[in-house]
Amino acid sequence: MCSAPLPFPVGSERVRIRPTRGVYAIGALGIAFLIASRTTGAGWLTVLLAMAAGLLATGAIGPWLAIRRITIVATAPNDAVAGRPFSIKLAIDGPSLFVQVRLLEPASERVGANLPTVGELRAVADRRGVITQVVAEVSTASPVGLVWASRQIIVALPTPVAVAPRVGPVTFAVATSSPATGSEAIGRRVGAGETVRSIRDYRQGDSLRMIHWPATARLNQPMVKELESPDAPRLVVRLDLNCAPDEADWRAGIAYGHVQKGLAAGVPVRLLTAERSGPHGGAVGSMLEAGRRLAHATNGRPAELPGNERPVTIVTVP
Amino acid sequence: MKLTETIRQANLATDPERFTAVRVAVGITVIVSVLALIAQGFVRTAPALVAIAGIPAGFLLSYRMRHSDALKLKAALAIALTISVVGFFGELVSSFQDGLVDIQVPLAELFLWVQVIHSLHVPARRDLMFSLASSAAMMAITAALSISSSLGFFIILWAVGLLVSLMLAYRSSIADLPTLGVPMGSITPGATKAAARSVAILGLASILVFLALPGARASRSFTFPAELPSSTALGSPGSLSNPSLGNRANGNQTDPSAGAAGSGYFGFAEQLDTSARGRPDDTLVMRVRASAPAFWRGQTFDVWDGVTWTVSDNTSTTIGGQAPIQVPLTVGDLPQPAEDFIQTFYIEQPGPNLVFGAYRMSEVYFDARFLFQQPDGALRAGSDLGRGAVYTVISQRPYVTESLLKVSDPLRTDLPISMDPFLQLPDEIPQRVLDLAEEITADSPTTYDKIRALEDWMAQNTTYSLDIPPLPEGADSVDEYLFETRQGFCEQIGTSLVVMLRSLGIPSRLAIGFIPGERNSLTGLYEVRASDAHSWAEVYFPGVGWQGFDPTAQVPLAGEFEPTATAGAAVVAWIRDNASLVARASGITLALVLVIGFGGMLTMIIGRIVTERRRKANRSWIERITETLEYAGSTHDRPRQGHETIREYIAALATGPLPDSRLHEVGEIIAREAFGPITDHHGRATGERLLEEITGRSAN
Repeated sequence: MCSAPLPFPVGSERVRIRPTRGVYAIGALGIAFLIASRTTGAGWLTVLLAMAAGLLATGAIGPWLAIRRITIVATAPNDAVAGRPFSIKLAIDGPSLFVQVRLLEPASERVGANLPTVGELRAVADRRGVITQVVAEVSTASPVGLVWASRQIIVALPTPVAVAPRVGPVTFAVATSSPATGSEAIGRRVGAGETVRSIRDYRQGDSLRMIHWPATARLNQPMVKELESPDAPRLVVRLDLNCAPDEADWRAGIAYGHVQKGLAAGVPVRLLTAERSGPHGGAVGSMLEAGRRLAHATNGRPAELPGNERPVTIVTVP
Repeated sequence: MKLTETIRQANLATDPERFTAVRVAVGITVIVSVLALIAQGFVRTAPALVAIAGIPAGFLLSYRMRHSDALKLKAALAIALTISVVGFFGELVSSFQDGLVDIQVPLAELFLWVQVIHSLHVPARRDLMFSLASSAAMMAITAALSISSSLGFFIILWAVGLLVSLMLAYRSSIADLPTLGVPMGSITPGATKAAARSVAILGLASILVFLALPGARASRSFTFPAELPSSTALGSPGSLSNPSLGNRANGNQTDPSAGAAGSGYFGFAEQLDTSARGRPDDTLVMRVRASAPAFWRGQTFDVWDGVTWTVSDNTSTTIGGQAPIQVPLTVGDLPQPAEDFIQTFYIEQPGPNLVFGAYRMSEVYFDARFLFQQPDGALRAGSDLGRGAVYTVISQRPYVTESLLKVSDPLRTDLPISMDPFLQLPDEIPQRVLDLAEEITADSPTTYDKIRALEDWMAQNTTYSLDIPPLPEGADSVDEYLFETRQGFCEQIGTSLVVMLRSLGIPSRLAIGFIPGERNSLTGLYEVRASDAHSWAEVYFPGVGWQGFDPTAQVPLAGEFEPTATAGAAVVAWIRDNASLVARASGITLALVLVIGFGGMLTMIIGRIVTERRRKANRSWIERITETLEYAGSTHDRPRQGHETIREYIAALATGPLPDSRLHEVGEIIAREAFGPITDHHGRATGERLLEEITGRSAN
């Protein structure tokens, strides 16, 4: 998900060491001290040389040891959209020191922290998908800022983040119609083949036949069904992701755009996708729901539209 | 692009350092390095005052102008820097023309000016770091030039300043980024503790590295300092003056203690009475920068009468002119070139006007036009040599080894007539002294072996003692030492060696001066104390010249000196040589460390207990019940994570290690108490009861 190439393979938790220019400056001073102390015999120069060496040792070993003791716990929201920032809460524990933190997957800006600390990072997932873990890079040069030690830490999320695709451009127009309501459905036979769109509170005049008994029992108040009009248009979006990852993201975005249009037009939308568990063809009632479905969508044979659902507008992406 | 525009672009203001603490720490560090240089006395008063006032003012000005391009200021600073460098080279050339090659003061002042000039423009962190590096260079210059252990105080201060500056600068660099969690500006107890720990680790690491590093070689001087502050010319040029002897100077030794300073040694006089008693104290009289230990000779005696040493010829010759003063050869000196052996003497106590030097002195850098040379080669200044006097002597050091001395045997060579005075013995010398010398050296084939045999015999059969009985009236000092008391100090021992050698036909004389003293491994200088005043035998070896011998002083031959391998080994050697002192100091130190350590630990433990008790006594109901819950979770391997709210934690416990639905009720009570408008005592009691039933642990 990170667009920039990583400095080393994700998952490698080895500590990387990178000296700063200060190391070379102190090293040069140390060599000068050594030469001067050997030629002049001034023991004070040996003391300064020892201090320079001690400073380099402290500057190198300190971060190297400290970085190994850092632990991270991360929590994130359930949903995100590719390309849009979302917050990931990090609780970083370890010895008291100043560190730089950034997320590599999903990518975030670099921030500073004084450990131990808890805070939120704004991360951006480049692609749709499901994030079950984040890769954080922690760097420190504590205490003296001479040598940087960096370590990648893979942190499992307690709940995965479903990253919906970016909404793609859609020019397709969806025909609209009002759905039948409980009151409009008076006198209409409710039987097999009718589709319950939703339920609502009972209002005076509603037919008793339209009462939704399971909901009435559960909520302990009369509830009535709202039926889809038998001739209402429906939108079915069938998404085929058997393609390259970039193309798949683009297709998912287009599908998302269709879903958005359909939902905006007030028509029922069914999304036919393939997931790891197999074909999935359920209806989606909101962009959030659609986003989650699209996040989970993968290559494979998408679900087929049931034969009794007519009339429909079928959009097949691509 | 025009040149001016290019310059302007290159000098655009960079992001200034935002943390004032970094500026303050760097400023203090720089000032400490300046004070260190000034305290060592290498800087004249005016530049010192300018630096002390100018650097803080410069840092303040720089802070106020930190957002400005300051093009004009930069141009002015560049000009000022150029003037400083030109001035430095001017002084250097002038110094060469005067013949006094002493660049210490100009060099130190150049660094000082650079520091002052640079302090006027340090807007960014990078500039401040350059200031630190510059202060490190200045500390190095100070360390190279310093002759005092007091520099250690400044080095410790400077090191702490450097470390704090680096830590703050690093922290500032992190604070440049957006912050996660606690703002960077706040100093947490953890951060303070970490800083203190870093200082301690650095100190420990430095000490370990210092002990493991190769020890500094014996000190070599690349400059030839000479300074004679506030000296008073002597009334009689060429005469011997020794203010440390009071009215005993010029041979008046009837009252050994009258008017003498504790550091006075009666050997630095016109004559040496071996019946005199009294030893100088441990006052530091001078420091010597030299690449190897040697006898620092002041003068010699060649006429022995059984009790007193005098000189056969006391006429002085004036030598001098352009610096350095060339020292003519005297009797026994060999003209062939040998290795230059440079010694710089830093006088710490008023003493004799003798110019000390090892081996054969060939050149002297002295802050006066003239010196006075005695027939034995001894040099005398025309004025008092008080505290602060500095002079540099270049001697010719022959590469002397045991084998060379065995080959260069005076007994197998026709000695020149000039050596006759060095074979002189009193007519009434006891025969048994002569017989003893013959007996001891009967099996020794060479002069060198004879000397070693005599030294060994004295080491085995006599005792070095500063507390010997007075010399009986009319007794011969050597006879008394060798046959009666068998106790003596350096005057008796050295004299006996000379007398016995002369009795064997080996030309020798008694030299007076100082043993090398203890080498300060920090300054690299030999610290010579009044008690190091000494007399020893000097023996003439054809092709070598005068060579010192003494069974009481451990001075290696010139060709056999090996510096200590590591600083750690030098410390170990020093401890070995000062075992009793170390034992006493270690005992006291250990006791102090134990007392302070245990006291500190006890105070810390008690403090923690008291703090914890206070905290527990003052904690709210929410804190108490939360702690109980967290403890219960921890005992079930499910500690609370830093990010978890209490409700989340309860949910995790209820679905994990503590599957009890009543936990949710506890959570609701806690939430109500934490965020609700009123205190529900009944609810609290219920929560405590439930929690106790679930966890088996009371919230109280």
